[in-house]
Amino acid sequence: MFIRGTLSEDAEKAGPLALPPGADRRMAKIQRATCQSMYAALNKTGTTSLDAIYSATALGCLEDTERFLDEITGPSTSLRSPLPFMRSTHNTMAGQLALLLKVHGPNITYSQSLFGFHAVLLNALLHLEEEPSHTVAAFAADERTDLANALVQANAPGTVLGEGVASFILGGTAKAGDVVRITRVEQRMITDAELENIIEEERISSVFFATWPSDAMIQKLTSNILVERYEVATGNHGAQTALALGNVVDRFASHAISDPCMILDQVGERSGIIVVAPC
Amino acid sequence: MSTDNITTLRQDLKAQIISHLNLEGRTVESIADDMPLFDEGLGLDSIDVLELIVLMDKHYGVRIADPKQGREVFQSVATMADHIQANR
Amino acid sequence: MNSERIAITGMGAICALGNDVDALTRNLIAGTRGIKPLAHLDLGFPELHFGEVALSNAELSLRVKELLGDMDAPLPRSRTALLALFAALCATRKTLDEQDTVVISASTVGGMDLTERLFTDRRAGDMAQARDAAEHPVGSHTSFVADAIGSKAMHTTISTACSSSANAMILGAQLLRTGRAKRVLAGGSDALCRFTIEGFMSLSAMDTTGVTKPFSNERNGMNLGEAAAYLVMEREADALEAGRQPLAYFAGGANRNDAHHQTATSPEGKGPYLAMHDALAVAGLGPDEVDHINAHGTGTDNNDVTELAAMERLFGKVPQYTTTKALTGHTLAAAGALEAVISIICMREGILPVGHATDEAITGHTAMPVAQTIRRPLRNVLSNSFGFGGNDTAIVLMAS
Repeated sequence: MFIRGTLSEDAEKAGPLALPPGADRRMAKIQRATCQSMYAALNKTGTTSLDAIYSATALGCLEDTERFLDEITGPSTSLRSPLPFMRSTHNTMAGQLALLLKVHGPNITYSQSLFGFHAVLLNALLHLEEEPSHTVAAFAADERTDLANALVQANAPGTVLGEGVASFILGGTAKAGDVVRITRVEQRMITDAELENIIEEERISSVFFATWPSDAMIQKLTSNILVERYEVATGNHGAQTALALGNVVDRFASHAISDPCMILDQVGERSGIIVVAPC
Repeated sequence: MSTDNITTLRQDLKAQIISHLNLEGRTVESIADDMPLFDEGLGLDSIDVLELIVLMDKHYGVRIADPKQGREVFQSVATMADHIQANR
Repeated sequence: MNSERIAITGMGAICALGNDVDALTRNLIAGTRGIKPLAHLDLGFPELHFGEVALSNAELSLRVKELLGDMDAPLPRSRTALLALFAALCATRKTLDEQDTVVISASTVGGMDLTERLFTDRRAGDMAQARDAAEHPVGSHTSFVADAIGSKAMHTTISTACSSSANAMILGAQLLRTGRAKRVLAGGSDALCRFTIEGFMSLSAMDTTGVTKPFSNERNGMNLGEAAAYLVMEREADALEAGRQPLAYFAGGANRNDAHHQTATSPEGKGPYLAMHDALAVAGLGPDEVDHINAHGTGTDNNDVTELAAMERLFGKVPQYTTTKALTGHTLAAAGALEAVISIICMREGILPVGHATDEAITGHTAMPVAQTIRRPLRNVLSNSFGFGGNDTAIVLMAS
């Protein structure tokens, strides 16, 4: 499937689509950020209608979850505002976009720590295989709070919780202006040997790692492959792979790389791989 | 209750509605006492009714027994103020 | 794309109406209802009715360990995860060698039962349970399930509120049809916790007078429930080759979006209509061929009238329909899978259970739900699951 146009995370070109005034009055910070990101992607690619929205979030709307938890565990017995609860459901961002853009097609939200976005891409791939003329939106969003970060530290000292949003418009057929296509998405236990096979099969010439693998693996690969750690400046979170993808897309667009590349996430024995090739 | 108190109550309510429902760009002056709060007018919806019920409880200690009553009570700032005065 | 049938060859479930599929079957036939005040969980709300699973966490843990055949097995602590493990292990019939099985689970609550206790303790200055926060994420329980059954394949979690596990089944079918999975374990789990009780209270969505009365003019809200349910899905040819008989077939499903309001469905039920219409199209069924509908039917003012409007518009003459949420409570993310299991039981036993019997249809409408248990053969069931964010899903199950 094809990633429409080029996208960098701070692009915000004024385009035909904009949030109607007052539309964000009930939005939490993460919802606003997601809307801004998606609208930027839509405008940058000249997309005015979508056939589906696929999203990933590892922790959802933390601010609202904490707000509601604080309230219900606190001494107050007064009536509760429904907004924090409503916004705490993980599909609230994707639902909000469907509402604003009147998208009646499939709307699925995945939540699986660092691997949610892989499921998003897989679902998009399945959709576009079946309907090549369709256009779908894919995004990942996660936010951090001080409390969540403190709890993450308590369980995994040294791990810093981050936040970010990245959005993509995907199509089943190539369009002028498309720079890259995604040819493979997997998430499972993959042995080193299998990984090497995939790298050979897909003619991968560069690999981006989010989580740095073993030295042995690096040595095996670096002999003929560019291996790099993608800097997730803001720490670990469920949107980091999506941000890395945006980074890779930019590199293709600027011709910094021109051969197939793999984004590799390894957590324990599990790997998530995304193969990105030029159009 | 004196006329001054009624006016203050209505003005307070307008300010609370704006802040509680995050109606950025709205001023107290732009909300007339009799302005319909739903559909045309302020354009509020069913979630806003729930929020206003919470507002009434929190700020005035007045509870609405049945949310279906909500539409009548929350027709305008004037009806809200009347309900509060009657039940405070 | 492969057009061969997707068979369901295993199922496991635990809910207020039964601690396993056998108990669930017996209770459906007997017309038992599972909704009552809380008896095991210490969550407060003595005036409300719930579909509570009749086991404590300790009892659940014991049963999971028995299924694992290891009384020292380290287990998660959240109730959602324990329910999930139990149902998943039942579904895979303790083969415990499911290397190629893709796990697609669903949850809205995740480990919230632990997180809310953490918040209470934190107020008292006690952070000893910080480690429980590791189970908070909605996808946490899925990793436990994948590990427990020995899966090396993909595992992921869908979180689209009340339509989640129905969506899990749709993805499962897609992966099987395109040859991307050999076998799929699809389902979901949600445990009762204060967060959701308080949440739905704040939306005035709960029935505060007793047991829910869906599809009637007296309806005034839902009863929350808890459950976990999982179904093993595989291509029919693979199943038969392995000597596994299909319990039923997953004929298709559709997820559509109402795009009207964050929590309320449009008056004409646009999203529900699209979901049902397109699910039938995928299943190759005309509206007049549908035998039975397991409705979403939560008992809320908005859902029941909009779902009914959509059904009447699609079918004209609406097939006999029931909402089993009046028996199990609304089990949120588990609902889609649980109600699929219930639908399969109904087809196997030839039974249409009563949810809530009513004398008259909702004002302005004609179709009433089943008013007494009906015994007749069922060839198919259309099952609806509609969630917040206008997330509307319908799936079609066919008898084997």
